[in-house]
Amino acid sequence: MTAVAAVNSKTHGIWGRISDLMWRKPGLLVATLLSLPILWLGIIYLGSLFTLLLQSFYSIDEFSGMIRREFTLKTYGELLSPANFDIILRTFLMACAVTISAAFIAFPIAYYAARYARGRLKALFYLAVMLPLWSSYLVKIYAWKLILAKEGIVNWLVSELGLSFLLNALLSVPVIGGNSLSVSYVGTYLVLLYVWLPFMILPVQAALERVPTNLIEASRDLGGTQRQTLRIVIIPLAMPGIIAGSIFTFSLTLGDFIVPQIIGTSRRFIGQAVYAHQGTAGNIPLAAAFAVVPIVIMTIYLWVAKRQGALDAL
Amino acid sequence: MRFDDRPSATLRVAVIGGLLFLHLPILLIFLYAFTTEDKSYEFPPPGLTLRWFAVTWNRPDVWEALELSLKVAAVSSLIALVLGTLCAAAVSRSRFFGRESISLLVILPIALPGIITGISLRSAFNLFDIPFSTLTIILGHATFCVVVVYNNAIARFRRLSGSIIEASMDLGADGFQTFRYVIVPNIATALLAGGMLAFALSFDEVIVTTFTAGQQQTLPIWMLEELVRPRQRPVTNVVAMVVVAVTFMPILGAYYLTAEKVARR
Amino acid sequence: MPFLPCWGLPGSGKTTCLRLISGFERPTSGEIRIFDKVFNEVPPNRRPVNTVFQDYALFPHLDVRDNVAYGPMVRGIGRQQRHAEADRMLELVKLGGLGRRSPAQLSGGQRQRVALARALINKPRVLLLDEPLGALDLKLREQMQEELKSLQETVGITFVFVTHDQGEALSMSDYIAVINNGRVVQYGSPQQVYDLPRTRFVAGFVGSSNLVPPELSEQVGAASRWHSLRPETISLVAAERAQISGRLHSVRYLGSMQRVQVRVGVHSIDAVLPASIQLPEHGSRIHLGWPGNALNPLEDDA
Repeated sequence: MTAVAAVNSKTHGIWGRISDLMWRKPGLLVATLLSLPILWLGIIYLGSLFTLLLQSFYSIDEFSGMIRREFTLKTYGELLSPANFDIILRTFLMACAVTISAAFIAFPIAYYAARYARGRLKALFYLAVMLPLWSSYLVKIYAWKLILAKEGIVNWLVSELGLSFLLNALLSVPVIGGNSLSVSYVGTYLVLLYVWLPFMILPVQAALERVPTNLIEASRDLGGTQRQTLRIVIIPLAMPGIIAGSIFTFSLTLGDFIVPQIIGTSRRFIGQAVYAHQGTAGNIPLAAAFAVVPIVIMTIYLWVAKRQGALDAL
Repeated sequence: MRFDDRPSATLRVAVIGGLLFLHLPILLIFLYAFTTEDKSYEFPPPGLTLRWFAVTWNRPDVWEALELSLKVAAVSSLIALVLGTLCAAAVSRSRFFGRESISLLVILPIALPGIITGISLRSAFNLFDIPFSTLTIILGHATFCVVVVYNNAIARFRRLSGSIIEASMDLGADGFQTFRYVIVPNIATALLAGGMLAFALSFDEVIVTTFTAGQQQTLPIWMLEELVRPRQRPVTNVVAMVVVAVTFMPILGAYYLTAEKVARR
Repeated sequence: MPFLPCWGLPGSGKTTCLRLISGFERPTSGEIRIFDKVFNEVPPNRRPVNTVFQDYALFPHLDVRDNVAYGPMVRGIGRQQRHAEADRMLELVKLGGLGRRSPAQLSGGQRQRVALARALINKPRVLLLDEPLGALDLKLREQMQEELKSLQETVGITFVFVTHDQGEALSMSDYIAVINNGRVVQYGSPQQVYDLPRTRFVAGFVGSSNLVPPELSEQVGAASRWHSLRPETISLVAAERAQISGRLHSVRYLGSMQRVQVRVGVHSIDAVLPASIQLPEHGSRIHLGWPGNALNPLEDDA
């Protein structure tokens, strides 16, 4: 053979040499690829998180209103005052309620999409979840403002059906009730559930898709009823998906400050407290300490989820 | 052996109920854009009209907010495209130490509540005396958009047969040629889809933006003001409808781009 | 110019060996020499070597002709010239006229030929083939074996051909390397490897030799070590000329031949005899003999 693989003229020069170097040092290639994203996320994001954390250890001088830049746990202590602790508890309970309800509503949809929907219907299901997930957050809240308003569709429907007494009974329940739906916890809960529900459906569906059909058939074959199969086989196997979905619903509810501001009572949630303290009140340390609460809760949550193997389902 | 495995009536009712719950509220937006009522949210609308479209069209504040939103979304999704692709390439190319931490770092800005990202950035900008501007909005948006591109790109890299990259090197292409002639054509649609989703995410974002924006208004900020203090309900109705329509397009586009690829393989 | 099949079990290091030659793995020690030149520090794109990948690795976004023309393209050869060259290569592998198809529209055998053409167009000095016939069905595989041999004769370059199928390895060329645990345990002609396996590993897997343990070797008057003994070299002999005697345990008919298992104490020896030979009843004592050089001493495996 005379013609030995012709020397590649195009791969000489500086680019060719860089390419050769990357082959000799694969670690260098990875480092080069990662340098830009790491710098960005590391400096802008982690750096900011760190300054936030730092500020939560400062405190505010009660007389001058200035931030005192020395290490103290005093601000964290303030979180435990009854008013502030109420805020944390309220937010936590709301996140639990939203997450659990979302799991219950999401499961049938995800189950149907994963098990029964085929071809076109499946694509339709996918879009039916994707479109609400991606549609504008504010528009969704706005839609609920229209729905829950006194002159809105819910009141209209209820009075048309002659069921006003039921609605009034609900609104007269202490704590969750209120003057109208749009200024009650029920309203806040409905909107939060609506806004974050799609984030639960997708991971649950993904987990259910991975349950092999023959496992279900084996369970039926061994005499399990549909209900038993669901309880003993399907739900445990879908659990990582449910946990993955709950990470989103829980985290997103914990941090939301717009929904409770627009639809709900005057009692604050964590997000509102953060917003108010950093804004008008100018109490950055307290705002930062409040912001650390969801971080801590989510860290614990993620740690538990990781032990359950749910992070792969994200 | 076949079992009676059709969906039960209870399941069907639950599915239909759930889907109605997801979709009816959005459909309502379309109805309200045409209502003649301009002082309240009366249902059913007393009459239907097209005049609010004309009114909205002539509102400079809406146009300015729209323009800023488009600009921010375009720049942020471009930055996210570069950062997300680089990350996905590095993570999928080799198993290096700290791989999981990279994934976590990318996911974190979206796994933690937006308010945390927002207030962190705000306090950092304050600390370093960086004035709030379009730039600060973009810094925030690009940060949480990376994950969308990353997820799309890494899924495609995973499906890409590793040996075609080796085949390219084997046939004499250097790293850059392989990137240009083999990797880019094979991940282009996934990147486009990721970019579109990032665009939609940024276009719609309000939580982080409330913390990182100065005096400027993006469209979501404009809407938020209207939600808190309703002043021009009919215009808000129209804007809401337009926003829904505009965000649907990149979503459908991204879906089409990724679904078509799956079907062809 | 040699055609070198490398044979080994799955996981024995055959593929790693190819990847070391092509440059996708880097040796922790030692040298990679291609025609006496050290290539350790040379990346794959600068080695005079091309590979036919196990899954063919055709570029899904390019048509067949552009797949084949990929090498010339990255070397900067103009579109017309490289397409003409690609078409010529496609003729060579009998795929003339299919240049505009997409790889997805081809059958497994056709993809294989595209992969061959795409590698050969670069005029490598060595062509590496990683289990190239593994994905094909039996009939197609036999046909491709023939074609690969004649193709190798046409282009006249070294083919390193990796397979786990010993029939394929033995039938395809003049030399064969047997690989185990990442080492070449024997290199030679198929005849040599078959008749005179060097180690127990080679003897055990090339065909179906008897492995004679040391204590049995001693009984027949050979050195106290492992030997291999091909069943077809053994014949039935009279008691006084027997090298070994045992009880007839079982017989399997193989058409013109019969395979006989004889128990010698706790050991057993297989012999392949013509079917015409009348055998005594099962359990009777029979006597076996073989030519002096049939007992082949084995080295210990590393």
